[in-house]
Amino acid sequence: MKLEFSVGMRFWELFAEGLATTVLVSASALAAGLLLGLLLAMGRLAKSAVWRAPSLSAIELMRNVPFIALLYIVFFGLPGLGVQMPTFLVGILALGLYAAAYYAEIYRAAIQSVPSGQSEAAQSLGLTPRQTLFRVVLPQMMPYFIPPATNQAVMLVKESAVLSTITLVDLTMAAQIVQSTTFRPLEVYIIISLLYWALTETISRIGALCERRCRARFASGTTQAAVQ
Amino acid sequence: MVRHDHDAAGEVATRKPPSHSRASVQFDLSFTVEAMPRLLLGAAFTLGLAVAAMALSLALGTVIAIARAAGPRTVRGVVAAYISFIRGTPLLVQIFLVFYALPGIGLDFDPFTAGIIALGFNSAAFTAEILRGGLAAIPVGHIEAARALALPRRVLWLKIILPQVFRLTAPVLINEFSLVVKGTALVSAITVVELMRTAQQIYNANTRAPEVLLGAAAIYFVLLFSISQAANHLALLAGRRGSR
Repeated sequence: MKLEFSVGMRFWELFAEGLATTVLVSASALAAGLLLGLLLAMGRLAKSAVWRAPSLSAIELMRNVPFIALLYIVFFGLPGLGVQMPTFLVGILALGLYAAAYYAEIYRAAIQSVPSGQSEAAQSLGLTPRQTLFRVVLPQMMPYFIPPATNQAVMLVKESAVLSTITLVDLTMAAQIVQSTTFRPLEVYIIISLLYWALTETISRIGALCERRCRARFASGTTQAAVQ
Repeated sequence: MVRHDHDAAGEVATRKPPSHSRASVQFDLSFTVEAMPRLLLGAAFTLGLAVAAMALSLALGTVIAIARAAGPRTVRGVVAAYISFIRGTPLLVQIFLVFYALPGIGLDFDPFTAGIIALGFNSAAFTAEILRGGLAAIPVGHIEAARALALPRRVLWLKIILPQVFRLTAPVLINEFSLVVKGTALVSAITVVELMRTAQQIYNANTRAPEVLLGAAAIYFVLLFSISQAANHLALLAGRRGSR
C-alpha cells in the first residue's frame, strides 16, 4: 500500500476548519475551567461546610466519571431542562465543567503550598480577605500552579476530540469526514495526529516559558529583598 | 479495508436529541433502575477491558522503561518519541488509528482487540514514565552491590530493581488503572459493547437518555472512586512504612 498524503492538500480547508474549532473550543473551555475552577477551589477551602460540601461533591463527581459520560448527560439532559443550545456551546460547557473540577484541585494544591504565615501576615497587616487572596496568595502560588495547569491544558485539548461524537466538526470529526470520502484512514489519522501533537507541544512550550518567567520574577524579588 | 459503523447505537449517538418531545417528558428514575442489570453487565465488560489493557500496559511499560534506562542511544530516542507522541495526541484518535487505519497495513483487529491494543499502548507510555520515576528512587548502592557480587543483568533487574520499583510505584500505578478504566468509555466509539455502549443501546430503544446515562455515570463513579480511594490508602500505608 502506498501512502497518499495529497488528501491533506485536497482537503486542507476542512482540516484547517477542524483545527480552528478544536483550538477555539479548547481555549473557551480553558477560560471557563480556570474561572469556575477557582470558585470551586475557594468553596473547597472555605471554613463553612455549607460551601465545602457541595464544592467537594461536585469536584469528586466530575473527576470520577469519564468525560464522554458527562458530555452525553449535558447533551441529552439540557433539552429536558428546556434549554436549547448550539452543539458548539454544549461542547464548551461540558468541557469547561470537566476542566473546572481538575483545575479546582490544582488551585487547591497550589494555594496550600503557599505557607499559611503569608496569609496570616496579610491579615495582621489589615488586608481584606479579597486583597489577601489576589495580592498575596494567588501571585505566590503561581510557581506551583503553572506546571500542573499546563499539563491540564494539554489534557483538555486531547479530551476535546471526544466532542466529535456530538457532531461538532473539530479536528477529529474533520478526519472522519475526509476518511469517509477518500477511504484513506491511515494518511488522515497521521495528519491529524501530527496537528494535535504540534498543538499540545506548543502548549507545553508556552507553559514552560511562563514557568521560567515566573521563576525569574520570584528569584529577582527575593534578591531585592535580601539586598534591601 | 474500510470500516463502517452502521449499527443502531452509533447512528443515534451522533444525532441531535429529539429536543421538542424531550421537554414535555418528565425525568423518571424508574428507567434508571430498570436499566441497572444491563448496565452492570456492561460494567463487567468495562472492567475486563481495563484489566486486559492494564496488563498489556504493565508489560509494555516495563520494557519501555528498561529500554529508556539501559538501552542504546537510538532505542532511547525512539522510546522518547513514542512517549511524546502518545502523550501529545488524543486517546480517541489513537483508538481510531488502531481500528480504522492499521488494517491498511495488514493489521486487522476486531473492535474488542483493537480497543485493548489502543488502550494498552496508550497507557504503556504513562506506565513507563511512572516506572522511570520509581527507578530514580532506587539507591545506587543496590546496583553497585549487585555489580560487586557479579550478578547477571537479568537477575539485577528481575530480583533487585523491578520488585522495588513496583512496590514504590504501586499507588501511582493504581491511579493509572483508574485512567485506563476511564479510557475504556471511548472504545464505545468503535462499537465495543462496554458500559457506555450498553447505555447507548438502552436509551436508543427507550429514548430515556438522561435517566440511563445517569445510571451509567453512577456506576463509573463507584468504580473510579473506589479505585482512587484504594490508591490513596496504599499511598498512606507506604508513607507510614517509609517514615518508620
